[in-house]
Amino acid sequence: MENTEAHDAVGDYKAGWHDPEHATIRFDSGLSEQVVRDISELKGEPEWMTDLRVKAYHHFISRPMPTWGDTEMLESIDFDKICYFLRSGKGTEKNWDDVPEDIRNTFERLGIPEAEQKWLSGVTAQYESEAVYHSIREDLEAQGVIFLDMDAGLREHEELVKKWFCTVVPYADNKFSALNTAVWSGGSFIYVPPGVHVEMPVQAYFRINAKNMGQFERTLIVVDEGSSIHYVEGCTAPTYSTDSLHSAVVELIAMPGAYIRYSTIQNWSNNVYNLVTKRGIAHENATIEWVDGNLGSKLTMKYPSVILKGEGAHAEVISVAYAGEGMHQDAGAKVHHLASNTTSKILSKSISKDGGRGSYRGMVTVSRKAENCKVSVVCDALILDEKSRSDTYPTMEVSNPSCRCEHEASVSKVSDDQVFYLMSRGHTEDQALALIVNGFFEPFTKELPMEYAVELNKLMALEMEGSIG
Amino acid sequence: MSAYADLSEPNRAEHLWRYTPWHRIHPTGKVAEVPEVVSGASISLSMLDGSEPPEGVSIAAATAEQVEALRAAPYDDVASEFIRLLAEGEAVILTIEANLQLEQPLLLVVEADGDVCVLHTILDIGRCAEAELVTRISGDADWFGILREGKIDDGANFNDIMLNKMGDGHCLRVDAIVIGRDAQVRAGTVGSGSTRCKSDLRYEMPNPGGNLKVNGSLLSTGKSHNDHHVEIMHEAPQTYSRLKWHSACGGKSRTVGTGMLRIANGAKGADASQSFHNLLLSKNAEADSIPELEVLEHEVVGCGHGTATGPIDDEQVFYLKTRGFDDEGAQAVLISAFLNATLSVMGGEAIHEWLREQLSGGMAALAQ
Repeated sequence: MENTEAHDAVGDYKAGWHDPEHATIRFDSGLSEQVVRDISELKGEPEWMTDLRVKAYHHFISRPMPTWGDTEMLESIDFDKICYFLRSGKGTEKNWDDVPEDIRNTFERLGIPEAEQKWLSGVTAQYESEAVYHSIREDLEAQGVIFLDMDAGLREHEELVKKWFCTVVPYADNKFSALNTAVWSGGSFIYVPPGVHVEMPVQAYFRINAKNMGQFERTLIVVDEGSSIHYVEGCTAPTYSTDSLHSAVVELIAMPGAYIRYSTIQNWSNNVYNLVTKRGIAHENATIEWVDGNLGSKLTMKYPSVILKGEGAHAEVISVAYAGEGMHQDAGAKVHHLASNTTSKILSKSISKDGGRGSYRGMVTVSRKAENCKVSVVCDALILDEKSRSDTYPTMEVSNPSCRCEHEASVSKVSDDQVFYLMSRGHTEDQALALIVNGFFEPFTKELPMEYAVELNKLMALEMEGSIG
Repeated sequence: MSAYADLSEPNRAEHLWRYTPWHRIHPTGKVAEVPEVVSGASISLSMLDGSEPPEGVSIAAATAEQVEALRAAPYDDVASEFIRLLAEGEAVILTIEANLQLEQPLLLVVEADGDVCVLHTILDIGRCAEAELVTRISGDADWFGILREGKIDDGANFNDIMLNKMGDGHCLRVDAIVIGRDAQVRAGTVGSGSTRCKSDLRYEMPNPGGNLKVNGSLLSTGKSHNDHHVEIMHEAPQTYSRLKWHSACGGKSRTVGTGMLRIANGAKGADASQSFHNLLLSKNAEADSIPELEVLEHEVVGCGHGTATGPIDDEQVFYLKTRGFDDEGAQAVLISAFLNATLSVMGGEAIHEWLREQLSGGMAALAQ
């Protein structure tokens, strides 16, 4: 692509460049049982995993597309044009110097090695289908913390993976979890032993570089009794005129008293379908928190879920979505209260601009046996212009009379009074809008590591330029 | 050929049909079947005090032209097409002439008996008319389908209250009402009858200045299943709507409230909100709420929704007990107050008193 052409396509999307593709292995586009078997064989997987993949593949092809959500966009996905496996490096390196130069440059431009040195306990960098770099702090390794890319996790800790894999998100859960189970590659496997607190976050960064690429990482995090971890993931892709598909599955298991925070900054380019299944199980007095930022992609359908299985468990989902031109952010949250004295809190915020569509789709259920549960759901949306749209589709099913369940939502535009006030204090209109939007997102940004929060505020300021008038 | 035969069974992914799929409210449970023996509901119209309606108010068989001219339900709606098919083109039209102001509320008594019973009513409320209408449904029909559609003309001020006092039968209700320019409409639903009830209430505001308040006051007892869907479409500028739905659920009952507020592009200055409140009174009761919003216009005054579900507040019970109530008495007062919050704003004082009398027997059933 010529430079001018590239800039036209990328626009203001800062991560929209791409490197020349240098695949060591690239499968032909299209999906078949043989492709699934080939992926498994290439990775030297045990038979049970191959069988699971094949079963999932058959479920995927027999299951119809969802009849809800943005069905028009879903139907436009051409699964035959997607490449289901592409290996770019020779393997997973432990030193950035050993990573191929242009791939290393990409991650340097994204600031990953720098962040690793400053504030991370471990990093996995995935490029196309597999991890190209992986590291974990030695002291954590010494305490028995396992942090590997998922392929290595299966090779080195097969029994643990076999015990937990697909237990939170079965392959037959939905069409895209079946697809992921059939062709998964990469992702993270984490096990934190009892009583270990991982003080600094661990991070995974997912980068799609090739055209028409499918990325299907699989993440499994098991945090044992009384332990804690904060996992951060980021994702970007180049801007192409053809579409790519990202369909991940994330499974979290928080054992009694454990704490997991899973933060995501999704900033895919606007040619990526982002169809992700994320779910956690929280046992007695455990906490699972999803902090979920959706800033890019063509279509995102993602509803981080928590099953509150043990008494006293707590779930929290804080999500923000920005829907710009040509984008549909169909995001939300689900919490299922199965046990007594469980609590949950959902806060969702979205902004629609330049014809974008932001949808909140959520579900809270309280089972008959779950006594004294408390639920709070709040969703707020801002619509910035006449072309944009905002929807909320919440579902509340309460089967226990002792539960206190509250939901509220509002859709509005940016207040003229607020803009006027800020302009009277010397800000330009764009600055005023950026400040208001950053304030609107503040409950989310304050939960992010500072470096992410600063970047997010800058990003939103760029997006807001020229939004009024 | 009926349009019903051409329609496929609705998908449960549509939340309208999620909790009460079409086959569960169809008279035989087999959606392709159309009952051969169908009786028409008997109706009578009077003033609430039993006197004759004044001149300018009439109820008569509707002509085919009137049925078509005041049609408001969508053509692809299974439930309304099914009722239309059972009614074989027959409908009654209730007309209130333009500029007529009624001192007293109107009472339309509907008696639904037989295995399968049906009624198609058309409302033609004239320009700037002011009236209150209470429709009381009773009877022992196994299945009753009622389709109400029509127009409330420009500047009219109309209260429309539906009271369901049916026996153990099933009730399918479809309302499709178009609201005129600057018309003010209050639509109330009071329910304590029928073991299974599915309502689809649709209000369109295609003209500027329309003002709509929808209130629900439902008492679910025994094994009853009450599913109400309320859809409000703001299609014109400066339209206003409020939906308040209060359900008290006891026994093994289930109440479902689904709402859809749609603000079309161009409906500038729209002001809309909906809230569903559920009081759960027994261990086996269940309440489900789905208040949905679709907003395609950014110049809105406000657009919001909320739901709250919970038990009776222990502190309020304690307070009433300190004032001399026993446990049951305190609970009964609080449940009445909860239901009264929406009941009391449905109409004038006369209607409120009348409704309270009609509902007093229902409270006893909650104790079961």
